[in-house]
Amino acid sequence: MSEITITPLGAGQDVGRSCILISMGGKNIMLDCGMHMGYQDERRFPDFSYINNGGPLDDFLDCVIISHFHLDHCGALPFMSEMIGYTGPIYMTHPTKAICPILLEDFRKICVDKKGEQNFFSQGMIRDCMKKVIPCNLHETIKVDSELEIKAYYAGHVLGAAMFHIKVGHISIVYTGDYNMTPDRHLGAAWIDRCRPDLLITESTYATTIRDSKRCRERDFLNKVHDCIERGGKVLIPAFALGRAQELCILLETYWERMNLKCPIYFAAGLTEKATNYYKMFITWTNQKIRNTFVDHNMFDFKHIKPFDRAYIDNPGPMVVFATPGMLHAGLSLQIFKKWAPFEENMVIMPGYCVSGTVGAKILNGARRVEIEKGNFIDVKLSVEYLSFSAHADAKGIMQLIRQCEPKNVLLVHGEGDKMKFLKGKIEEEFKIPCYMPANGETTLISVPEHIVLDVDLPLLKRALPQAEIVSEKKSKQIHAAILMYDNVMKLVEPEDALNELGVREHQIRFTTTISIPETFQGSTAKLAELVQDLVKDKLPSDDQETMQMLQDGSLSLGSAIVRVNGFEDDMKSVCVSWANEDEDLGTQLVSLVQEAVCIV
Amino acid sequence: MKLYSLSDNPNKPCYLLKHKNSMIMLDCALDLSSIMSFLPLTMVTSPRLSQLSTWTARDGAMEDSVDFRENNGRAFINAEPEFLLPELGMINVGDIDVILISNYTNMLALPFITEDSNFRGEVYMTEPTALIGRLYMEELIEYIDRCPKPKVAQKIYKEIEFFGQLGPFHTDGSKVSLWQEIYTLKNVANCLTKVKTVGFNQKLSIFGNLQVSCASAGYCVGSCNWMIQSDMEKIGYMASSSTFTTHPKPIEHQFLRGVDVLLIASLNQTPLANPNTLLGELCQAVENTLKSGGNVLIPCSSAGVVYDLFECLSGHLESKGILNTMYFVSPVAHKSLAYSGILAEWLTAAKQQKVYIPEEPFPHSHLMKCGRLKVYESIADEAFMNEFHVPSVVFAGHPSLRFGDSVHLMELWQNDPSNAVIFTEPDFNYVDAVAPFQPISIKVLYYPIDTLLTFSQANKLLREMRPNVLVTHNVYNEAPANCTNRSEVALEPEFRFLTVKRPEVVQIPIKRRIQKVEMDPKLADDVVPVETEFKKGVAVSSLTASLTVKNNQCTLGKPTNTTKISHPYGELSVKQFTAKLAKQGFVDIKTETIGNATTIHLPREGVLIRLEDHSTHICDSVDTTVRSRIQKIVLESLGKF
Ligand SMILES: [Zn+2]
Repeated sequence: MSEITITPLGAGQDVGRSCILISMGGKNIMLDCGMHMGYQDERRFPDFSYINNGGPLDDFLDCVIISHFHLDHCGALPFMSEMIGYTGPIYMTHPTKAICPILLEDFRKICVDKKGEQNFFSQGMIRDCMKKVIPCNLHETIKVDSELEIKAYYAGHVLGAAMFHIKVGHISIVYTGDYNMTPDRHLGAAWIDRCRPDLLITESTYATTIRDSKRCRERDFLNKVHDCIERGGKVLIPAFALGRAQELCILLETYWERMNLKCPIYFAAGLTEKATNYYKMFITWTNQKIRNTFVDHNMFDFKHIKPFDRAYIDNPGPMVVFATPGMLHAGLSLQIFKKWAPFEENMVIMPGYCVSGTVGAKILNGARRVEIEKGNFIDVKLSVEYLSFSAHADAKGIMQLIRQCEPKNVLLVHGEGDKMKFLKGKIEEEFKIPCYMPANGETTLISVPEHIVLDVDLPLLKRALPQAEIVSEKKSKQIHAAILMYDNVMKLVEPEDALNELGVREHQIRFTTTISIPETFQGSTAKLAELVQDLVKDKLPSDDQETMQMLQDGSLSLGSAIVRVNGFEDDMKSVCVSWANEDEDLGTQLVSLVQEAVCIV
Repeated sequence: MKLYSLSDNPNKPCYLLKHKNSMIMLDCALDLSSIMSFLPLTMVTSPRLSQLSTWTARDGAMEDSVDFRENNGRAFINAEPEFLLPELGMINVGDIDVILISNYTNMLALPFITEDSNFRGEVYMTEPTALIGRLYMEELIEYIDRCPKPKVAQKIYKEIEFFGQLGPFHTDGSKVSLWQEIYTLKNVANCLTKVKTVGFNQKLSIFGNLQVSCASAGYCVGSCNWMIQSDMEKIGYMASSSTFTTHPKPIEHQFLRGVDVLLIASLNQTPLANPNTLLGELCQAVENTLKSGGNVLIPCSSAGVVYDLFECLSGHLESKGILNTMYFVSPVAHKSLAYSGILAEWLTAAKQQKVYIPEEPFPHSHLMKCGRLKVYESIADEAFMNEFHVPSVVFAGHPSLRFGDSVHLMELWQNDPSNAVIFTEPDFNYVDAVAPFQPISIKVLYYPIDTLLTFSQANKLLREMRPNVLVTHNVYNEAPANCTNRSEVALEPEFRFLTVKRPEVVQIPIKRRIQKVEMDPKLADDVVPVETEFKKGVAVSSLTASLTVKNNQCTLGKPTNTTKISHPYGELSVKQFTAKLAKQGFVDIKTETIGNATTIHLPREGVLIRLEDHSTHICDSVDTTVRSRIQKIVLESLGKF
């Protein structure tokens, strides 16, 4: 039995800091290298010292695969590659490679420039780290080395998000990263073929949720925004600059157009134009509708949405502002929140999941007084709305993906323990396959049946199976052959060919047994031979009978065996049975048949 | 394995491979050479073309039904142009399982196949091929629909052995009967719904036992070479490949290495010309023409080399301080440029890097923003008429000068010697292209930018790939009689070489030697590897197994009957053997040697053992126990597996 070992360094019964170590077929792979938004201390990054017992990462890791550009999946990458030290290959899709350095730089600025953190990765390190990235296309089989292959599938979570199929020899796993099984306004749905991996590692953010219909959620969102601006309030939508924000922008843009609204919508940070450019350039990664119409009308050219200026924070009157980051843990969105939170006519809409410990998570839990910075508390009077807009698969979607790829085992990550437990039960019940949910640092071991492939000499196969049977369905046939084992190839050949290959000559062993006939015997030779023949037909397996022949001298031949009745009509003495060593069973059986025949007569 | 050649033009390939009960069509190019026999199409009546004199056949057979016109000693058909289809008479369209397309220039005949009501197959190509291929088809249809012409109702000219004897048409008369008018937009849309897009190095499984994959061919965006692979053999198809660096992702050299059979098509049509030098000369010619106040017409296709021309030419002109606007006119020009901006994954590393900034991979949009490049669907656009300034450089389709805006511009500029028309596409003979416009004063220049593999590049690649059998069109094997350097004008026949031409079938010999068989892990316990002193590095084991075949896949499982057979080898040493017999309790052992043979007699058991050159014969023991004891000792005394 081969095995796969899986150890989450992050995202084990938790959301955030995705980083999963896999060992399979002698290869070690790191899936994602994320950071945890909820922590400010060393728990922010995965514990890389666990890998190779603190030894050099290069000696241990064969490759790192990043599923998408969200920081909880790639935020620790420059730290690992440049500060701990890793020079091996890092794989991600083209859009991820393009966008991830922007988010890393954004994150770096907040940590170093705003919070004055020391010992953090620099801009140069992000650049050097990205040089190690090998971009991959969807469905392309990339050979990491002669044994390790990876292939990306569309995940539909954010632009460029991918699921990865990883294969070493006959062992394969699928890692989903974050994915979404329902198409949204700018992305298509995740898709994978029936690749039957030994293990599916899936996210389980919404393990227990079955979300209401997309249209309802959209209407809900628009109504809330509209109500708020009607009463003169300000709407803050903290969101990642890339991804979810674009979908909400498309939604607001069309609503504003339809309702003829004049209230300003702002998109913070200079990222708008840049983000839009990325979407334009990577239009092949968006959904079919956008791809079909982009030549005439680019969905990402917004008429109503204008760039935001910090000075607008204190402007009177209603407005809608998109600001980063999405979890209100730092930066501009937190700054705006601080100003707007004390007024109850305002509103904050959290369009995605917030990791515990962030201001976003606190207010979603109903906290009316939160600590923004150390010792600085503010009252939260504005209304707090949560829209499960985050593009993750819900329970139904997760089940659907399992159905699509037909894994032999499932392992849950990127979710909360209690919810995972529920989903685990459901998966085991519906698919009758084992489901695992290791905590961080806990190692899961999964056995995979061996898979042995031999080269067969074609003449051997043709001899064993006549032409007609090669194409016919399911028919088995017993064969005797030899296996030649070279360094890394095993070859099934005829025994004679094996002897030739070894440069030796076969040693033939033959047995001849003479069964004497009692004096009292009255019958004729022919009759005795006939009797033996009948018994053979009666008692021997049909495979052996196929070769039966009556020779000219009245002997019976079966394979290498010969039954000969000696003597003439009236001078009969004995019956001879002779056979070669490989027909041992046949020979023994024939001897007893002849003995039986002699007795009958 | 059989290969059908359905096209006679090695640069417009269409092959059908019959292999393992499956039919695979390789490319489906449309031969456009037939359109050269037609009169150019114009949107408005051209006084000159419409007044060409009627051409009369010597026997006066056809003028009543078909409008033939004559110009400058050549005859042209005045009707809607028709196209030469691949040889479909040889095959049954319903038998085609899969069509593999190499690039967007090799798929224009696809709707003729897929829209046949018998077609049931699937079509595979890369995403850029599907996107730009569609543009090429739509453009062709638009050019023809734009200028309605009488269709040749009865097509009488096809029924008569006519073109065969008539030089003035400059065409191969024997195939005229296969000419057909172009398909419709609806056909194209339907056809493309049957297309499945694939990525480079994506492994596709067809019919369970064949795997198909493609890798970059370096010729144009999304162009690829194909590999068809089973357990036993690899068949490579290399069409339209290039090792020349332009904008597409470079060719993947290793991909077709070591294939059993390699089919090679679409090599360079101007193998002795250097595209770089010609590109330099082209820029110079444009510069000179503009400086002298003339206009430049570049009849071209709407994607591919034209992207590089924009980039090079704008750079060259700018460096010379010439800031004239370049115009790009085609019904699909706008889309073509838009697509070129979103297919970065299919471009060279340098262009790919740009989108990470993010910047567009090509400078077109920058050129368009600053007004150096203007794009129109047609010169009949009001915008074009308002914004067009001379002297200018106009890129316009179609490169054949038989339809499209290039026809009008040619008519407009043909009488001024300061103007120039520059041909860059090697697919069309420029002398034929300008024939209907003669006499002309415009400068006719020919700078073919052909980036396809030259013969010497192909020969070099082939030496690396080492295919067992090389299959190619006849013409690639034909070097001119007195040539001194064959490797530059033909493929070198140092491999097993098969040639094929339309309409021919070749049988391709492939030696199947081995097949992969999967072994049940439970059976692995039965394998006892034995190493011998005779050959190092090889272990051997006997195996009894049950062989099952399902979906063309073989598996070895645990047999129902588990008697193990061993295979002894070598000589038996009499001394050791008798010693062993004695040790096992046999007494009164008598040995007698005559020549090479030794007879051992065990009187108590009534057994005779005869040893002779690599054989042991044990006689006369009805007692099974005794027999197995002796058998065991014999086997123990021999090497075996
Ligand atoms: Zn995510």
